[in-house]
Amino acid sequence: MSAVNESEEYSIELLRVRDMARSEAKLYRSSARHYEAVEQTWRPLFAGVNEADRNWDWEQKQRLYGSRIGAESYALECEDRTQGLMLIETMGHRSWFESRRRIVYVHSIATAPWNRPGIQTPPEYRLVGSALLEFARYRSESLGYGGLVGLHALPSAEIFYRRLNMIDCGYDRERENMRYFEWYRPERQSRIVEGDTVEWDEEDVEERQEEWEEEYDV
Amino acid sequence: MTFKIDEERFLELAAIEAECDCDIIAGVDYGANIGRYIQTHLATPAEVLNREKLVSFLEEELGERLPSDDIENLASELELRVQERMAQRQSA
Repeated sequence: MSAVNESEEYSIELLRVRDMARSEAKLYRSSARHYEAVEQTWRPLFAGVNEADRNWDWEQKQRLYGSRIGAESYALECEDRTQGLMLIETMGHRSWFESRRRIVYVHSIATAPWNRPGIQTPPEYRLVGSALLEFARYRSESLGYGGLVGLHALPSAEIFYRRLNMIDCGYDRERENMRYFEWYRPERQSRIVEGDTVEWDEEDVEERQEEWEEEYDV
Repeated sequence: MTFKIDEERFLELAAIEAECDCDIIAGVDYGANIGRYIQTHLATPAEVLNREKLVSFLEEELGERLPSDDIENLASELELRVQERMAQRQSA
């Protein structure tokens, strides 16, 4: 299994929307300074807006989930500001399509308020959320999970996950009836097709959804 | 293996974000019940579920058929589900 070096950092480019210029960003394992930055710089911008995550407390999330086996949390920084956060779980989750296969589960992901079209027009940077998700997929690849990644989407972002070719697996009653999405591809193609996904036939998905609903009595 | 978003993927992702024009957020939010949820979770593992006993039981029952990392995974999954179920019950 491929572990991540706690002190390792990754260089990523973001797109600064106002002049469409590239900006150098760094992805780090998140730490207390990132959670403080969220409280000091994100929180005030949530006042008066109805964002679904406005009450999220990332420091608490880290305390509750970050110590679990396989939990990893990341922060994306650009121009000395925390642009996005993500908490993933690399153990304890299986594919919706093939229960024997492990996935990287995105427990939580959020971008800074100034990167959200719903709060600021135009947003400051694009690719914050995308880069974090691409990193989750990279972790899945490096762990030998074949790039499989799952998450429970908040309604406003469902369209985005569909466009990323994540498969909409329907509502999950076990997770507040949120829709579950998964980047899935059959095992034989996992290591061959880099950066691509295989779309399931519509009938296959419907059949699996029926099984899911029956299983969980949705 | 290194992490890199190549130029083609960069442009594709930028176009998708522009097209969707939505806030990118995901994850379970326990909203108003977060207090009880946290309370339950902070009580773990010793007060909610004894992991050592659980792993020992699973090893005894499944140890000959499953490797130890699978046993640990099963214990983690069960632990998480028990905690969340308890939180749901308490907040219901």
